[in-house]
Amino acid sequence: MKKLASQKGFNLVEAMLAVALSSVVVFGVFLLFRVGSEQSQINQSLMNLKDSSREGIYKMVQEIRQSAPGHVIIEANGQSIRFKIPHPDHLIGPDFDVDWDSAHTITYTLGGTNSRQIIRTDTTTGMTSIIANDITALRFSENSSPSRIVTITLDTQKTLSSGRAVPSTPLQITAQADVRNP
Amino acid sequence: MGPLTDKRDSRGFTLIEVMVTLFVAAIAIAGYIGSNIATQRQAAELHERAIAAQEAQRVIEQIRDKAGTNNFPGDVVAAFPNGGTVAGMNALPNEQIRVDYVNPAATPLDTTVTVTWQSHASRQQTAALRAYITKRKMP
Repeated sequence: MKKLASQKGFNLVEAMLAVALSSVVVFGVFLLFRVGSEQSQINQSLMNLKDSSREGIYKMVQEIRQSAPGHVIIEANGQSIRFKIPHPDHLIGPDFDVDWDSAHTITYTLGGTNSRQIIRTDTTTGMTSIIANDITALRFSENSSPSRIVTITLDTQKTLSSGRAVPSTPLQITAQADVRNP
Repeated sequence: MGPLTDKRDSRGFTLIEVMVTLFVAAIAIAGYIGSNIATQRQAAELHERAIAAQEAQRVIEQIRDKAGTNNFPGDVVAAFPNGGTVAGMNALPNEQIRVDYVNPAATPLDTTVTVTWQSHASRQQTAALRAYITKRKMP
């Protein structure tokens, strides 16, 4: 019994102190990793946001380029655009000029979920499709009338599940499209 | 006498030992935070570069608009002179855009658009975009 008493180990106060201290350390390390993983999640969604909005703006630029001066109308204070593109099966008329009679009319405007999607509508066929998501603002402007260069500006921002808006101020992307057809 | 009663073994850490431990831990944490900051800085630089490419693309598009003429490349060079700067582009701090041609009389026109700007780290940055501009049917 005497031998056991000499093997005392920690007393209660010591053990509690050790647990309290180590919990502080563990909490700190945990916090560090949580901040890190949160940051990587933000970076990931930022990258996706840039990627998809850039893809969307290029889709629009590609299509607007196929239009011609006099066939582009910017509507609703620049929030939507209506333009004609040649029909792929009837590109050229009998006079070897672009056949604008069978051309399709395309519109781009914000709509869909929370009005944060760019909606493309082919008003000739009635088909609609979504060009981009998480768009907070979309503006079109022209350099002259009739417009030869259309400038597209869009703002993009996403709200994460944590309620945090990424990026904190909307990311702005601008592209210009020269309407190239005669 | 068991070994645990030996006073020398149950003394705990010395001040020097604790300080060394703290020092090593501080270096490890500093490395982690430093790498995070470096990543962030790199991302910001990449973002600026993407904007610069976008600005150069806009200028190329403006040059293409001047190519729909019977006076090619004369009208293009008149609107965007060789070695001249383009006004009104300001998506980046202290942004300057310069247009150069390999030969201003050639068809197609070998065009280089150079974007220079002051990066967030207050370093001068440059991005260049090269494209061939061809004559287009007049609208």
